[in-house]
Amino acid sequence: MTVRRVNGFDPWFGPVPAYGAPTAIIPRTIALLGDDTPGLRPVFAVETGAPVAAGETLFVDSKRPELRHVAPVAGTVRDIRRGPRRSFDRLTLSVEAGEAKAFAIPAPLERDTLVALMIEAGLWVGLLARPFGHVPAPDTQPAALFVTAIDTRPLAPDPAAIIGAHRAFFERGLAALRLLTPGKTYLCQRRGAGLPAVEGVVEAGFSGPHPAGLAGTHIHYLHPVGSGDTVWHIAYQEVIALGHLLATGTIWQHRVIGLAGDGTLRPALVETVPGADLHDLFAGRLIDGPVRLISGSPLDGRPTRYLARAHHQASALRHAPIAERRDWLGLAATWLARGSGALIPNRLHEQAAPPGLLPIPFLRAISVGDIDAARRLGALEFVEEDMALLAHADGGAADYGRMLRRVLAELETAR
Amino acid sequence: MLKSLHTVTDPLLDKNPVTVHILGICSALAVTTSVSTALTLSLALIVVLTIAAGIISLIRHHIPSSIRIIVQITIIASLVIVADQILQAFAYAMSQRLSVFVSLIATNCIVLGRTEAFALNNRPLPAMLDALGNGAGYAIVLLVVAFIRELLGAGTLMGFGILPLVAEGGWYQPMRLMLLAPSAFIILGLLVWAVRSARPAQQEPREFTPYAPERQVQP
Amino acid sequence: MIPARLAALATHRLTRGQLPVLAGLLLPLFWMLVTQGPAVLLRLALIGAITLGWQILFARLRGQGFGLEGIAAATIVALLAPDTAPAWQLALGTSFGVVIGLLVFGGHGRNILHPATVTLAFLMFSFTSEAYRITPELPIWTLAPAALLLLASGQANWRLLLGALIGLIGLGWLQTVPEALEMAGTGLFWLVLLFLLADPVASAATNASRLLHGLLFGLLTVLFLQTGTAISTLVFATLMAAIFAPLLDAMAIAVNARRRERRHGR
Repeated sequence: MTVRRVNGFDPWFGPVPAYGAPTAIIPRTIALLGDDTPGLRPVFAVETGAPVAAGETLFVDSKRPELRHVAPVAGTVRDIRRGPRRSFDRLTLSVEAGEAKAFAIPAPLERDTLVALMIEAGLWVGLLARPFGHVPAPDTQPAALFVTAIDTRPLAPDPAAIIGAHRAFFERGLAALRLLTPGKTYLCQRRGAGLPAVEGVVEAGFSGPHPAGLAGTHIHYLHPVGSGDTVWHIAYQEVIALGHLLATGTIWQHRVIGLAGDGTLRPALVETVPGADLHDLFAGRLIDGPVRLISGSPLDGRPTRYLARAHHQASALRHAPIAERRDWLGLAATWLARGSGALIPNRLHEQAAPPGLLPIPFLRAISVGDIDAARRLGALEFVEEDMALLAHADGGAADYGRMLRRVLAELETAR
Repeated sequence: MLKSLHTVTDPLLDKNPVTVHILGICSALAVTTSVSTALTLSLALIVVLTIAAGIISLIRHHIPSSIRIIVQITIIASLVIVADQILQAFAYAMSQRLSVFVSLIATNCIVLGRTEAFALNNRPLPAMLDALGNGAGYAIVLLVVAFIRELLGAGTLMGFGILPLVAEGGWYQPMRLMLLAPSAFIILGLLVWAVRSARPAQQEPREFTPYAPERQVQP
Repeated sequence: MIPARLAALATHRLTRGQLPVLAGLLLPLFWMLVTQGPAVLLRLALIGAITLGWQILFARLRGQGFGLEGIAAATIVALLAPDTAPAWQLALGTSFGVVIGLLVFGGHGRNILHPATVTLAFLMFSFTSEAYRITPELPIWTLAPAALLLLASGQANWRLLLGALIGLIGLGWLQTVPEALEMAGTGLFWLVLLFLLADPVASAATNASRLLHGLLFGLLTVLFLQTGTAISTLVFATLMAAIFAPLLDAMAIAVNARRRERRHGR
C-alpha cells in the first residue's frame, strides 16, 4: 500500500476528542434535507400524516429518477416544508416503531441489478461524481471509484474504529461496489488503519493533517480528473449501509456520529438514525451558556437543526460574543484589524491549499468570476469542501465555496 | 448645420481621438515639454489632416480598394513634407526643436485613422470638418499636457517665467520628472481618468462581474 | 506544518492585519527619533495626514473600507525621507504614491506596487538636487523584531528573502562588487526587503515566483549599485522587481496549468 504525505494544517477547534464506545440514541424526529441534493425538484410519494416503513420511498426528483430518497426509519410523516423559490427545504418524520421494507436481493449481483437495487433503496444519492460534485447518472461509467475511509476534519470520529465494529457489512458493500466501475476501486485510509482488505480493491494510504481526508485530495493523487474523465466517490458509512442491505435485505437504520466541540461537556460517539434532530442528540450534553449546533465539522458544517446525510459528526460551539456587548478591548481589536476586505496573501494560504492548487491566483479568479483562469488553475478538480480550509485560513469572512460553485455552474453549462 | 457642428465639436470631448480612442500618444509624449512646441505641432497636424481629408474625399470614388492605404499614405506624406519645408523656411528654430516629430505626423494614427474611417466615405466638406474637429481635439489634449509639464518642469509658459526658480533666487524647485516622458504618460492617464469620470458613457464595460453574495434566507 | 494551537494564533485576525507591520516599524522609528530628533515625527504627521485624507476620500467615493496600511506606508516614507525635504515635495510625492500606487487599484490587497515604493521613487526621480538619495543610517539590529514578527505572522515569505540574498551575494561575488556584500549587513537593506519587497500584496503570488522575484531584486540591486547610492538602488530595484512580479506569476501559472494538462491527459 503506497502512503502519501499530504501538506496542510489542522485548524484548532479544541483538543482531538477521545471518543469511546458508541451509545445508542434514537431521536424523536428526523428530517431529510433538501440541501443534501442541491437542485432537487421533488415529486412526493407520501402525504403529511401517512405512516411509512423503513426503506419506503418518500420522494423522487421529477427529472432524474435515480435521486430517490427513502425513509431511514419507520415513522409518520410530520411536515413537508418548501424553501424559497419552490425549492425543497425538508421533510420531517417522527420516529415510531414500524416495519422495515424488504428488498429483493438479486442472487448473482451484476452491475445493472446492483444499480437498480441501490436506486430503489435510496442509496444511489450517497454516490458523488467529480468534476462538479453531483449525484451521477446511473447509465454513465466512472473511470475509478473512491471509498473515503479516512476523515481528517476537525473533531471527526475515526473511521477505522467504526468500520471495525461493522466489519462484515463493510466488506460486503465494498466487494459489491467494485461492479460499478470498469476501472479501479480505491480504498482511501489512514496509514496503518488496518481496514479489511477486499480482493480487487486497491488500498491507498494517506497521512498528514487536513485535507488528507478529503475525497478531492485522494482523487488528485490517484486519478486526477478535469478534462473529460469522471470518477465517483462514496463515504464509508454508505458502504456499510450497502453491505447491510445486501446481507439482510433491509436498509441500515443507523449511523455512527461523533458529537464534540467546546459547547459539549465531553465528546461522545453515538449510534443514531440518519437525519437525526440535533436537539435530541445533544440533550444533556451541552454546557450552560449560548451554543450553536452545527451539522458536520466546525470547518465545513451547516447550521441546520437536523443531521445532514453526508456528515458523520455534529459540533456544538460556543457563540462568538455579540458585538453590542463587547468590551472596549474587543472593540479596539476589531478596529485595528479592519481592512479593505480584499484577499491579503499569507503563508497560511499556501499551506491550506488543496494539493496542486496555486491558492492566491485561484482565489482571485473565482472571486472575480474569471471562468477561463479558474479552469486553467484547476477549478474542475474541486468542490466546496476543498475550499473550506482555505476560507478558514483566510479568516472565514469570504465564502469561497459559493464562489467556486458559481464558477462550476458556468463551466457545467459551457460543457 | 447642426450635424456639421456636431462633426466639429464631438471630437473635442466626447470622441476625442487621444482620450477616448487612445491614438496619437507617441507625439503627445514627445513634444509636450513646452507649450510652444505642442502648439506648433498641433497646428501642423490640423493643417495636414484637414487638407489630406479634403483631397482623399475628393478622389474617394476613384481609389481602388486594394491600394487605398498606399494612396492615402502617399498623399499624407507629401503634405507632411510640404509642412516640414514650410516650417524649416519660416520658423527654423522651432523646426529644430521639433526635429523628427513633424515628419512623424505621417505615421500618426489619428491622421490615417480619420482618412480611413471618415474621409473615404463622406463628401469633402464634412470630411474636412471632421478632420478639423479631430485635430482640435488632439490639440486640446496636447496643450493641457504641455501646460502642466512646462509649468511644473521649467516654471515657464510659452517661454515667459511664471514660477520663480530656485536657481534665480526664488522658491520653486522644478520637477525633473516633468521633463521626462513618464510624466506625460501619467498626466495623460490622469486626464483620461478625469474625462471618463465626467463622461461615464466613455467607460469600457466590465470584463467580469465580481461575486455578490445572494440574499441569505433563514434556514 | 503548523501545530494546531499555533494555527489558531496564525489565523487570528490581529496577526493578519497591519499590526505586525506597525509593531516592526516601532524600533527603527525610535532609533531615528533618538539619532535625528523629533523631525521624524513631524514628517510622519504630515505624510500620515495626507495619506489618511486620500484614503478617506476614496473610501467615501467608493463605499469601501480601509485599514492601517496607509499609516504603515507613511511611517516607511517618513523614516527614509531626508530632514531637509520641503513639505510641499513630501505632500506631492505622498499624494502621487498613495493615489497612483494604492487607491486607484481599489485599495489594499488589489495594488501591484507598494505605495511607499512609489512615493520614494517619485521623489528621487523628480527632485534630484534634494537629499533624497542620501542613505539614512539604520543598524541591522533595529530590524530584528520586524523580521521575527513578519515571518511568524506569515506576511513576509522566506522565499523572497532567500532569493534576494542569493541574487545579491551571488552576483555581488561574481562581479566583485564589495558594496553589495556590505549592504546585506545594513538595516536599510533589511527594512526595504522586509517591508517593501516582501509585502504580501506587492510581491509575487505563488511560491515558485516568489523565489524568482527575490532573485530578480537581488540581481537588480547589484546592477544598480554600481551607479547609484544605496537607498536609490534599493528603491528602484524594488520598483522594477515588483513590476515584473505579475509576469513571474504568469510563468508559474503556465507551468502549473501545463503540468495539470499533462496529468489529466494521461
